Amino acid sequence: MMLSCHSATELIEKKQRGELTSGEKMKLYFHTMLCSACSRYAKQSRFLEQIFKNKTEAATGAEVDDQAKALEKKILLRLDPEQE
Amino acid sequence: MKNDLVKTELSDWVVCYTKDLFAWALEKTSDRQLAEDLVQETFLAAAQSNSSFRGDSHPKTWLTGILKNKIAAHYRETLRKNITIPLAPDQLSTFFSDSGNWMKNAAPQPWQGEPEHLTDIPAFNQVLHDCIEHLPTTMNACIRLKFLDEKKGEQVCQELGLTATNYWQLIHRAKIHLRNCLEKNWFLAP
Repeated sequence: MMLSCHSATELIEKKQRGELTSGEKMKLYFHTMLCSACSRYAKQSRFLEQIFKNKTEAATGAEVDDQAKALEKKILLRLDPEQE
Repeated sequence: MKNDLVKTELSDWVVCYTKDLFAWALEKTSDRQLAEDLVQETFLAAAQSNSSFRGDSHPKTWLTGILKNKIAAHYRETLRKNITIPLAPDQLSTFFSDSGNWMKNAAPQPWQGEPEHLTDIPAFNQVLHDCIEHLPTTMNACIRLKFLDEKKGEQVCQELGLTATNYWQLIHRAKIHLRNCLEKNWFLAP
């Protein structure tokens, strides 16, 4: 009857997709109430989703600019080979 | 005549948007060569399908849409090539005991600090990047697809012949690995 931590983490992932049945909700609720590792997992898993959604690590810097400039030329040439 | 006009317009777009598109692709893939190739392909595809641009969206939005599809297609292809069905047996034995409980050194520990602002810290982004790159190929592709906000697992599954359960299992595994890597190399790093 008691969930294993492995199954609990699966349910935690499922919960984030909004797909838990009421029975699963109940099982997960009791499991995380008693299991601090899994309740941490739940919090940290949400945090990971947040990162996936908001990751806006700005890819900037001179190096990126240079590569983008070179790329621009390459593309223009491929689009219109006569330009050369 | 009309062709020339279209050509000029597209060239303008190349000049205006290459940098932003490249930076965006780099952010989603962390792979310079791949980002470069896909941005190139985006413009080539745009040149061929210019008639499908109706001007009811901003050209940059339209181009970003093409690029996004290309990145997603790339990772779906990676998955398709590397996945075996049924899925390889659970690779979580380093995290869970036979009875399914956390192994002693794998149980999640408290994380200090404000997670909201972590991605503003370059050193954290580096650890995140390294952790993602160290994931097995299929898990890596899953996480990359998540970066593209590919919520619709169904589409990925259909193309790969995966069941939804298989797909979510892969994401579950990927997140277990990634969480652990971040914990060991950032939150609890000496």
